[in-house]
Amino acid sequence: MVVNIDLTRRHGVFTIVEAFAHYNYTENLIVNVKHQRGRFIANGIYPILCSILNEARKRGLHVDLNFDLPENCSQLLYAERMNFLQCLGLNYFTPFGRNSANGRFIEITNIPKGNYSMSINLMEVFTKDFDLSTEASSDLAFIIGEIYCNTTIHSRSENGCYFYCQKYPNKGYLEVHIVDSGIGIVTSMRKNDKYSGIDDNLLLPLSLEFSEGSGEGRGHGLYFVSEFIRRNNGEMLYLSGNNHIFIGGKGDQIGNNGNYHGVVIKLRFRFDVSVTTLDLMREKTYSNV
Amino acid sequence: MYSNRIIFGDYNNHLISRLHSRAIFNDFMGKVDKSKEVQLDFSGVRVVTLSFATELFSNIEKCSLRYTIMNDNQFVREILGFAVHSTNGLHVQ
Repeated sequence: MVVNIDLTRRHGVFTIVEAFAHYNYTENLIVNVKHQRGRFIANGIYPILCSILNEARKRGLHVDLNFDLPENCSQLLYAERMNFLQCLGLNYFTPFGRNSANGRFIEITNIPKGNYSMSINLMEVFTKDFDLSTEASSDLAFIIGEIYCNTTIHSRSENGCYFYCQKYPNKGYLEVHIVDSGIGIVTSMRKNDKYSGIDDNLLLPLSLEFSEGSGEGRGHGLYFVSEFIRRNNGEMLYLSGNNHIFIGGKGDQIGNNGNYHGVVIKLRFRFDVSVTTLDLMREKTYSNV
Repeated sequence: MYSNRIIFGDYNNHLISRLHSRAIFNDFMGKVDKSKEVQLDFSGVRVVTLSFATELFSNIEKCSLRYTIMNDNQFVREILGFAVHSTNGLHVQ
C-alpha cells in the first residue's frame, strides 16, 4: 500500500488517521512524506506515524519511508529534535546539533509491549525540569500512568505504545500524546458481554464512564482522566476505531473519522488550574479515606 | 525467616501497571507469612495509579490477608485509600 502525506498543506492528527484508514497490517507499506521549509508542523502527527510504521515493522512487514529532506527545514529540525526521525528509522543531518530539552519537552519514547513501567521518572521530570508543583506533577503522572496502563492491558499492540510530551510555558499548559496501534478500545470492550448490541459510536463515550470498561479492570482510570481534564479546563482528544471524542471548552463533541487500529490520546493539561485528581476521588467516596 | 514487610519502593517509585501489581503480589506471596499481618510499605513511592492499587487490594482480599499500610506521601495514601474502599464495595455513586 502506498500512502502519501502532504505536510505542505494544512494538517493535523486526522491527516494521518485518514491516510491510513484502509491499512490493516497485512501489506507492506510505502510512505511518502512531503515537508516544507518555514512551515508550521502539527506535532501530533509524528507520534501516530511512529506508532503505525513501527507496528507494521514489528509484525514483520516491510516499510519504505521516503521523506523529502529540504535543507534547514524547520519542520524536520523540529521533528529531529523531538527524536521523531530516529524513532521512524531516519537520519537527518541538523547543522545546529541537538539542543537541550530545557524543561520543555520529553522526546518521543517507545514503551515496549509488556513493560511494567515507563523508563522516564515522570515526577522527577515534571517537578525539576518542567518546574511544576508537586500536586500538578502527581496528577499528571497519575493520568499518564492510567492511560499507559490501559494500553498495556487492552491494546494487544506488538510494539507497545508511544509517549511524547511538550510544555508551552507561555500558554500555561502542556500537551501529552499517548498512541498505540493495537486492537482499539471498542474491540477491547466487545470482549465484555454486557456491551453486546451497543453501537461502536456509543461504546467509545461509555468507556469514559465510571466503572465501565472491558472487564479486565475496574473502569476507574479513564473516568478520572477525562473528568480531571474537564475540571482542569484542558482538552482531550480520544480517538479509536471510527470515532473520536473531543473534550474541551464547548463540552464533549463526538465525531467520526477514518478507521484507526488502536488508540490515540492527546491531552492538554493546564498547570495553572488548581483542581486535583484527589478532589475527584474525595467526591466519589462517601467515607473519608 | 519472614520479615512480613513488602517494600514497594524496591520495585519502582512509580507504580503504574496492573500487570506489575500482579507480578509484585505473586512475588511477595512467596515471601511472607500469610498467617500474620503483612506490612505494605510504600515509603519512597511517588505515584500509584488506581489500576495498580485496585489490582493489589483485590488480590489481597481474595487471599484474606491482614495488612497495614505504611507511607509518607499524601497522594499515594489517598489513592490507596480510594482503592481499598473501592475493593470493599463502599463506592456507590
